Order: sequence, then C-alpha cells, then structure tokens
Amino acid sequence: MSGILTEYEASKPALRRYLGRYFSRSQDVEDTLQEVFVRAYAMEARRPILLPRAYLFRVAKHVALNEIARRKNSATDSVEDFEQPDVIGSDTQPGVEQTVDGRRRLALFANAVAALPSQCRKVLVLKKIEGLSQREIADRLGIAEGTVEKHLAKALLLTRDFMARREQIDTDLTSAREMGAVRRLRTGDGE
Amino acid sequence: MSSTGNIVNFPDRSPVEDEAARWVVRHDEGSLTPAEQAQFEAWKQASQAHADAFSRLSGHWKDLDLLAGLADTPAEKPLWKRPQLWAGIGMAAAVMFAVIVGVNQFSGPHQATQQVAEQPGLGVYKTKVGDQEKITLADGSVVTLNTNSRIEARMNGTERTVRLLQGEAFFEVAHDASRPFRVYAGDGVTVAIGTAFSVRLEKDSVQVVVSEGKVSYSRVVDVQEPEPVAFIAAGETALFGENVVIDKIDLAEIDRKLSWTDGKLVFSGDRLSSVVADISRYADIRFEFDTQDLADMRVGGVFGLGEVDDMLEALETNFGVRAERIGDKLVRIARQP
Repeated sequence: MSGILTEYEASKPALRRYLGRYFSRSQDVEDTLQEVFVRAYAMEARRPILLPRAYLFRVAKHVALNEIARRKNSATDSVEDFEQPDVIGSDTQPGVEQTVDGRRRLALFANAVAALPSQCRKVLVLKKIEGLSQREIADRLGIAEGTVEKHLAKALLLTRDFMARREQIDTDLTSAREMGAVRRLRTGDGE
Repeated sequence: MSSTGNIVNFPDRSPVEDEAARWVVRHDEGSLTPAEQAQFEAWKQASQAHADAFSRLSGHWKDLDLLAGLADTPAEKPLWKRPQLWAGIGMAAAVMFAVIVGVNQFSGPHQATQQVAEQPGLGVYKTKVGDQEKITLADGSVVTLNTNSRIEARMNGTERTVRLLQGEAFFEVAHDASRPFRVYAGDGVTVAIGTAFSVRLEKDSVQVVVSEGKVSYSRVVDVQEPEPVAFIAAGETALFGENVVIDKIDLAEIDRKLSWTDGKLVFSGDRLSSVVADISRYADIRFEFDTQDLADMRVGGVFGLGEVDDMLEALETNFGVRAERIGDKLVRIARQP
C-alpha cells in the first residue's frame, strides 16, 4: 500500500484539526483535505516520500495558505472592481467569479480523484497530474498498456459520476436555502 | 418544491458509456492505427447515442486536465544525501553492540541473586533487544532467552515453574518425573517432564515448538491442575490463540524455527514482510514497504542475528530493492529506480 495513503488515513483527524485553524467552514476543511491528499499522492508518484506525515502537514499548510491568499486577493479585487467599474468590462482577464469557480472545481476534482479505487487513482494521477503517456504509465507500474486504458476509462466514468452527484447535492442545498428564505418571507421574518 | 427533489437515482451505466469511455481515452492518446480509426468512426456513426456519449465524456476528459494544477506542490525537504545512508546503518549496528555489552554487565547473575534474596527460589532473567542469553536453572534445565524477553523461574523441592512474561524462550528440560516443568505464558501453561521445546509469547497468542519428547498444554483459568487442551510432540508446532492450531512439520523446519538458539535467522521462501518482522525483534528497527508486492516477495537466506546491515545489503544486491534508512528506527523498502 502506498505510504502516503496509509499515513493519510492515520493522520486524517489530526490534519482536519490542523486545517480547522485556517478555515471555519467544515466544507472548506474537507475540500482542502482531499486536495492535500491528491497533491501528496501525486508527489509520491514522482519520488518516494520519506516522512509521509510531516509531508502531509507541509502540503496542508501550503494549500491552506494559498487558498487564504487567493481569497484575500479576490476580495481586494472585487473592491477595486467596484471602485473602477471600467475594469469589469475588460474580457481579457478571468473574472473573480470565474477564478473562485476554477478553484472550487479543482477541489471538487481532487475529491473525485481521492474517491477512486487505488489502482484506478494511481493511473489517473500519472496521466493527468504527472502527464505521462499510457506507455510510460504501463512501464512505471509494470502492467499492460490495455490495463492502463481500462483504468483510465473507469476513472473517467467514476469521476464524472462523482461530479454529477456533488453538483446535484449543491443544487439541492441551494434550493433548500431558497426554500428557507421563502419560508422566512412568508412568516414575515425576512423583510 | 417537493422534498423528493433531494433524491436522485443514478441508473446503472450503460455499456455504451463503457465503450465511449474507452474510445475517449484511446483517442486522446493519439495512437490509433488507421484500422482502429476506422473502427472508431464506425462505432460512432452506428447510433446517435454513441456519438452523444462520446462527446459528453470527451468534455469531461478535457475537464480532468484541470488536475494538472495539483502538480504544483512543494517537494519534501531533503533530509540527507544518499551516501550517508549506510553510515546510519553502521551506527545502528554499533548501538546494538553497545546493548549486548550493556546486558552482559547488568543482567544475569547480579539481578538473579538480588531476586533470590527477596523470594527464595525465584529468579528473574531478561534480555534486551538484540540480546540472547543461556541460563542454567537450579534443576539443571537450560533456558535460552531470545531477544527482548523476560522470564521468572521458581525452582524448589516441589515445583519447577517458569513464567514467560515477554518474548521467547527455548527450554531443554532436565528429566524429573516427580516435578513436572511448567511454563506459563499468556493464558496457558505448557507442561513437560524431560524434553526440549520453545515457547513464544505474542500479543494474542502463544506458540509452542517441540524438538524433543512431548509436552501438554492447558489453559489456565483459576484451576490448580487444568485439563490439557492439547498434547504436542516432537516435530510439532502449536499456536494457541483464539483457536488452537497444531501443525506437524519436518525436522528441518523445526531446526529453522529454533535457529535463533544458534544465533542465526534462517529463511527459506518466506515473505519479506515476515522476514523483516523477525529482524525487527532483534533490532529496534521498523520496516515499511513501498508497495504490497515488495512485502510479499519471497526471500531466503541465513543471517547472523544483528547482521541487519548485511541482510539489507544482500536484499539490495540480489532482489533489486532499495533499503532507505529514515531516522534511526525506520527502514523503507522500495523498488530500485
């Protein structure tokens, strides 16, 4: 079994507590946790990780600080955008919404990868994160090229299903919130 | 909105999707032969469902490129440079040597005498990790204590009782029909009159290997003379855990199981994971495997106890693995790059 995977499972509660220092929303903690795992997992594909636990915490800190810096920047950006309305009009740069969405999508993809069965995940990580060809993956893992293809196809379908499920949950949550808002309006608490 | 809106059923994937996924992956690799290309076109044109599934999954496959963003991750800080590795192992060997010297100085007669003064006929013997000791008891029986083990022996006119409190011990029992020789370990007692056997105490079980004569084994539950649950004869090994497992093995295998009494570890076709587990008993080192197939690799050989570095070197040269020393208590076994 992969050293990182074992260590990740063992260190999950501690990592969760650690990330709790950076994020107040538990959903942020969970998303970051999965991202940390996939990043460390991808790194392990490149070189052996000598101290997996220490490394997981190092990556956790890296991801958390990046995310916080990014949020801060986008908050500032939106204020600037507000003060200088002409900036909004330029289509050359991705809008704040888009960046936020991109980052959320990355976390979501990381979650989808983390949820894959182990061999399937390994192959997908080598393909999409490490950028290896199927031939190279086959050599690296000592399996047939056809097997690599099979794993990739499976990974494709499973991640797609995962995303669809998550998007459905998000939609449901949004509609649940809207329902709550409607209820408040009806009882006269809203306005 | 009705509450049923929260429940979504995902129908089982159709075979079309499986096929489409294979084509997407293959197509992306760009290695289709003209024949395969033709086959692909034919498949795609066979039905609108095929074409739709292909284009949906192609889109998702492209989306997965986003994952490349995860590659940008800080690497681990290098701890040391490779050449220092074996220096580390050498140091561990030196530490083990020191342990052996230490034990010779502090355990053995001194401690035993001390205990005798407190309780007549009671001797306590113990070994540290990597150490072994041969002790002759008052009745003439000889006990070989393996690494990191502890016994308490009570010898007097009416009883010969040893408690194995930790580890493993081999007993060559002096014949005396009037005083059965009892070894308590875990929740059981092994009884012999004159014979040779070893008892090893594990976390949840007791293993008995008999090389001469016959012993009986009983569970101890507040009974003076418990009924034996098993008799184990020469050439047999018994494992008393939740269940009792008695195996008849050949003498070569018995010798192998008792090879530690000659200061050697003998392996023949054992899994590497069990080999290193055994080595861990003699050196305060933990092993970790990069992949399961490394742990399952079958290896063989004879190694002197404490020759951990020799063994690792043999592994590196003969089995194409890399043994990487991490800190002073962990060795990571990986495939050679």
